[in-house]
Amino acid sequence: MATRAVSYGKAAYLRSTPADKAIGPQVARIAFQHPSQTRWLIAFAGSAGLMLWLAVALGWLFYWGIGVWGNNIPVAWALDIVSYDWWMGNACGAILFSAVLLLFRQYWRGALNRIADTIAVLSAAAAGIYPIVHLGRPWFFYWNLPYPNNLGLWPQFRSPLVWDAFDIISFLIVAVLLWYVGMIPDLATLRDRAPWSRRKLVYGAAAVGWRGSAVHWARWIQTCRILALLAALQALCTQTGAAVMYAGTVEPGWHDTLLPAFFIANAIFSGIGVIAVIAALVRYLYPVSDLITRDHLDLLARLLLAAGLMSTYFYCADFFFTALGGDNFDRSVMMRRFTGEYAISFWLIVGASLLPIHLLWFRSVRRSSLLLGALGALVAVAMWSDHFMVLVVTQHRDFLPSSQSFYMTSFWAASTFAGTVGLFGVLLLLALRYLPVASIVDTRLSIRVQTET
Amino acid sequence: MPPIDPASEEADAVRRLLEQAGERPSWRALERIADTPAFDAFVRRRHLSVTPMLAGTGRRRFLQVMAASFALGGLTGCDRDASSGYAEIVPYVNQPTGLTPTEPQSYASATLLDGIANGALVTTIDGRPIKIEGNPDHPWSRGGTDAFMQASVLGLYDPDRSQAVMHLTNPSDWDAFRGSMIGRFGALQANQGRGLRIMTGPVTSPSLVAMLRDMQKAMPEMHWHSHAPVGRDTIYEGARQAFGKPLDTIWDFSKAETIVSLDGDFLDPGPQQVGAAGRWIEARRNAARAGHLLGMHAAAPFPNLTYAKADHHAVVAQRDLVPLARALLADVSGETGAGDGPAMEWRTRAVQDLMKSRGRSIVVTGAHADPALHALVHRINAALGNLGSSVIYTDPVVVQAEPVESLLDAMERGEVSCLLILESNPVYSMPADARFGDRLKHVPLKIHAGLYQDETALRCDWHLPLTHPLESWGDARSPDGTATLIQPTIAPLYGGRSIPEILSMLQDTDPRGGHEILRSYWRRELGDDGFEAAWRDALLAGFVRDTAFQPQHVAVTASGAPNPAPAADGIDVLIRPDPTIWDGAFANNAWLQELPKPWTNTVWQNVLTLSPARAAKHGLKNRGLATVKAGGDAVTGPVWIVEGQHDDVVMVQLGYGRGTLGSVGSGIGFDAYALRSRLAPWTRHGATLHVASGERRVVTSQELEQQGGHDFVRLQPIGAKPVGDDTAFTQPTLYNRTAAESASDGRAWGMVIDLDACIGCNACVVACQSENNVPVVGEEQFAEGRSMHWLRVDHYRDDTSDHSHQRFMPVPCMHCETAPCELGCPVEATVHDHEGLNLMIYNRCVGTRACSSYCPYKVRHFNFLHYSEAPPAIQARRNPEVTVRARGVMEKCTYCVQRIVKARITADIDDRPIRDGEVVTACASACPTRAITFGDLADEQSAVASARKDPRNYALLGELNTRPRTTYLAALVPSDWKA
Repeated sequence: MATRAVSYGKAAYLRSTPADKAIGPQVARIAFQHPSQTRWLIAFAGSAGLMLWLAVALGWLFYWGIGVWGNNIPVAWALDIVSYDWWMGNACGAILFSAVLLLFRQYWRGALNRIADTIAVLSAAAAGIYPIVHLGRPWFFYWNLPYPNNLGLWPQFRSPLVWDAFDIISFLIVAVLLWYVGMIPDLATLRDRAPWSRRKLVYGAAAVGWRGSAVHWARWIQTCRILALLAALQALCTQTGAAVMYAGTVEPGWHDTLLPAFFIANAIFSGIGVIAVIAALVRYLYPVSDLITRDHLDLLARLLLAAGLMSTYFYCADFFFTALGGDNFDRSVMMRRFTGEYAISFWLIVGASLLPIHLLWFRSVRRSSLLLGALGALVAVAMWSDHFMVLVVTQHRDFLPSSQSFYMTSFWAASTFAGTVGLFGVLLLLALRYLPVASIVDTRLSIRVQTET
Repeated sequence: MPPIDPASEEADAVRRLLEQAGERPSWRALERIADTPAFDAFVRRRHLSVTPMLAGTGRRRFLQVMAASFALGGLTGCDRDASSGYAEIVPYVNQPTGLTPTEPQSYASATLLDGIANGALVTTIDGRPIKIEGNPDHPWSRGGTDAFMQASVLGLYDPDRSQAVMHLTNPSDWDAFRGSMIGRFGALQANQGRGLRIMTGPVTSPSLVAMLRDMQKAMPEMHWHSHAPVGRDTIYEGARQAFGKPLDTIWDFSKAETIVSLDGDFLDPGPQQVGAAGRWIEARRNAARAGHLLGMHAAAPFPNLTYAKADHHAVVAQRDLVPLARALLADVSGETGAGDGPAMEWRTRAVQDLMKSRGRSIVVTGAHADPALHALVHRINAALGNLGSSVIYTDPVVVQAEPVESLLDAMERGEVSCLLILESNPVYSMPADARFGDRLKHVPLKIHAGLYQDETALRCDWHLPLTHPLESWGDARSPDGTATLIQPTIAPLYGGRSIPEILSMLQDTDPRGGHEILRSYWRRELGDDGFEAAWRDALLAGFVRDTAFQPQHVAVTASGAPNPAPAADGIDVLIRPDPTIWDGAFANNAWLQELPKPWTNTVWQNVLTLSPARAAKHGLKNRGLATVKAGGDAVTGPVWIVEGQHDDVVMVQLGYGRGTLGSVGSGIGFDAYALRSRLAPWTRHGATLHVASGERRVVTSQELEQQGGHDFVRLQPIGAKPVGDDTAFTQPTLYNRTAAESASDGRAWGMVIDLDACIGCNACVVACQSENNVPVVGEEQFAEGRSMHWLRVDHYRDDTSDHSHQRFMPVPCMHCETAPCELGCPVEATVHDHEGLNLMIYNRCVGTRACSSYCPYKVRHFNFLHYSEAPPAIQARRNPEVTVRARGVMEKCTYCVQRIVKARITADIDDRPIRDGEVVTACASACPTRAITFGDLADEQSAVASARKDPRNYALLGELNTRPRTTYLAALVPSDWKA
């Protein structure tokens, strides 16, 4: 299988084509020796602080109720669902990147797929707290799930929220499996190279007896492909499911068949943006610039540009159909997106993502770690803003002018979101420090493909 | 024991003792030095309750007391004395007749506004009054209610109400009060009552008046004054100018074909609202049925509710009202040369209509209008021949006591030795230039009786807690004169006494109870023959039959010289009672504080209303602070822009700016009484407006009043093609509709709201709050957009140039047959039942809020915080039939499902269908204009089914295919109406 690779522009992604055997030690050194300890510690301390603040914010929330957030009627869903959708968008975008490249046998993904898979898992974890904590009575969260009970009560299966609960659970399972199974051979490498016994034990347990036999490899490759296929489908389901939460209503600006596709496009855009940010961060933290090369960044940037163009197309299509559709309420919502109280969220999308991505037409920008990372961050911010716009602009005034009410976020709502960023950061930094930051196996495959062609 | 007041007699005693104690007294505490037999005796004399403590408690004594306590503990159950009340606690062995536990009981009674009664039925459950309904048999209110009536039940339980007799701000008791008064009143009685003055609020109660008159007979030098912050003085003065004597006006709308209102307010909050609005809509409905419109022409400086319901509008300056009335009078008297004047176009049209319906028209003005305007309006009615047909005059319903002016002078001269202030708060509500607080200092003995320890209570020697009308016996007259009886529905909650009881306590050797006083009065009135039967009948009905005043045949006197016109520059300040808390009487009522004011949609405070042009001229925006100065008086408050108001008018509302009242009403808004003067209580001419720095948070329930080109409120020009349609129910669908259309047991609940009848009075909103235990969230949460009103009244202004057409639209849950909310809920907490109700199952709700996001009408409300938390006294008011919702749970209008269930059970027991009209929702039963019809749509004969067949019937947002069960009837407009 490894003998045929699709030539993608330039075949050589790894500049110096290092020897096969050098990859393992290089990646293992990061896990064992922790270079850039100070930088890592600073980042970790910041993230851990935010994560502790999340605990405080959730404590406050559970004590007082949802009222500590700024949510109101009509804006019943605000920063909670905005953040949830954004995290899930990142997760789906990242896992689509990893899974689709695997299915299309793009071995250069080895440099970035570990990062992408980790983002998918951790974003989903950060998102996963919201469906529970945003409930008015979070202690009954399990009523959303079908389970045998003496009341004979089931969830209401027509509700998109039920399917969303299923979605996030199955997404977490698939994402963790893809991430973990894909990592098993690398964990075995770390086990073999671990300098002392306790580490050997931990990595050995994690490597679940991987011996590198031909049967192992065959099964592993099969499993990875199956999981990748499942992950891709799951990502599509999750995003369309999240979109149907809105498209399934009669609300103006939501009731739209375009919305599920729009959500997928924006998820990919956002996910690749976050991958760019984390890739830049990893290159800054660790000596991996010969593993995650500028050629990789270039490819990532092209994907980001493509996703951005796709997203732009959807925005245009949305405006076009709304304007053409002739529904007065829909058009009013569109006008409020452009000029209303929350117009900043729309112009942030344009100004932070749809316009700046055109810098990526320039080769030098594509190949700059800093610029690409910054653009990725802008895109992520813009996609957060998109979710804010979709939710808040429609809700704060839908049909009756009398029910208009503005939404002001609160300190505690913002704290909760910042806390989920902290949670993501802590877990990500731990993963970067103790797990192989790049896929050793896939990088080796990539070198082989490179040398063979 | 409270700390010793340095100015008190105790302190003096201590000082004297210290002086006597020798050269170098050494002491650790004042109590120590005061521990002399003389001081001991003094304390024993003054503070009976602390006497046992003075002895100190030894070990033996302690054990004795404890042993006795244990031994005697059970003896409370042995109390056989029925008068103590404890005997009643024993569970019923024989059920008292007519009382089934948990079964609601209804008592006919009355609620009071400015001393004037509206007939009410008080629903009590297990001895607790929980809800007010209108008394359908009452000749004046005819089953209607207003927001004040609905909210009065909350006022009863208010834990901030005065709960103890206070003497010099120390707690005392009724016996101590009576003890200290016996001698003084004996002396006063012996002295013909010289120096005794009684000050009451407006009094209509026949029994109280008789009592006061008897007192005056016994003490000829006693004076009785009446002070009413929002009284009917201008009405009576106007009648005096036109007819030579004070009179009340009753309008017979059924005989009218045209109404002309010069700043009229018969549909606005006030004692007349319920009866007048009910009669007005009845006549308007009958006219519409006959194919024409009972049109109303309104000219006013401020767009109040009466103006809002008019069909032809003119915005005129306050100072132009009298000239306009004079011109109208000239026009209708056939005098030529009335010439041009204000609102010419409007006037021409109004005169045209008036001339067409001579003798069958009504010209009205407002309770707070200039007496000269009242007099002119009487003259116009006389000139049109309306007197005695459509406009009827009766004796004044408020009994005329001596004016307060003479009391003020007497106080100043030191002629008042004892002032009894009964249910009045003059320190707060007197015009600033009366300096009542200062004059009060000249009175040696000041006794105040009131529901609250208010501003006046704090300046009086004695404060006595009054009973609420729902816990006392009494009577009062309705605007038509009907003597309405007030029955207690609960024993006094906070140990209060009623005014007659207090008066009896002061003068009778053997004080009489309220029941006895009332009965003996009516026995005297109705005669001994058959009194018991008549009395029982009156109590059952809630009023004494045939006590309405007879029409007076009056003729206008020759008109005097016209008053000089006020200066034609500056701003006119209109000082008006607040539409929800009135003159401040309801300032501590949280339901009324949180009730959106009908014309500004603001809550929890008062504002300065300005016209858009006036605000623009001063660069003022909503919520910006401004100062209004008139004469030497000034108030500063936040600005609120009201479209359709005259540019030279600022309107302020009374009742706010309270310092000491209670946890609800203190410290909000500004005190507009500061602008009042004795000569001009309702209008200050020549005022100036100044921009003050800063802003204040003003919370509104609805910021946007334009419909933005949509027809949420449809308008039906009379005689034109119907604007209603049933497109909402005939949308194409792939689904099988039969399930929703034919309920399994043949019922389909529905509601039709007649927008022509809705006057925006908000009675339904408070009724819903009361029936359904809807919590109050407070100003801050309201500002966050978290109000809980299950039923809201949307307020729109037509998109015309002057925005003077206003529309009110009550919006409850639509109970959509294809409800979007039900799709959203993941846990089936909101589902449809077999009769088409969209139910909310609180204990299944996890609080995803999806249903609210999915609801196109946004009628759902979420318990973002623990809103249902309330003091125990407030909890006692709650309707036990309705779940109190927890934090994190969604709630909404249920069509009063508890009432439906009750009717269903009753019908099932009797094995019959539920009769039409058997289920009346709280909003429908509260409505004074019967705008809301509720019932079974599946029953072809039902009122609601026939209302739905009205050609004006349409569904709000019907194009969304929600198939709402609540539909609307378009508002009527004149045939030549143009948008």
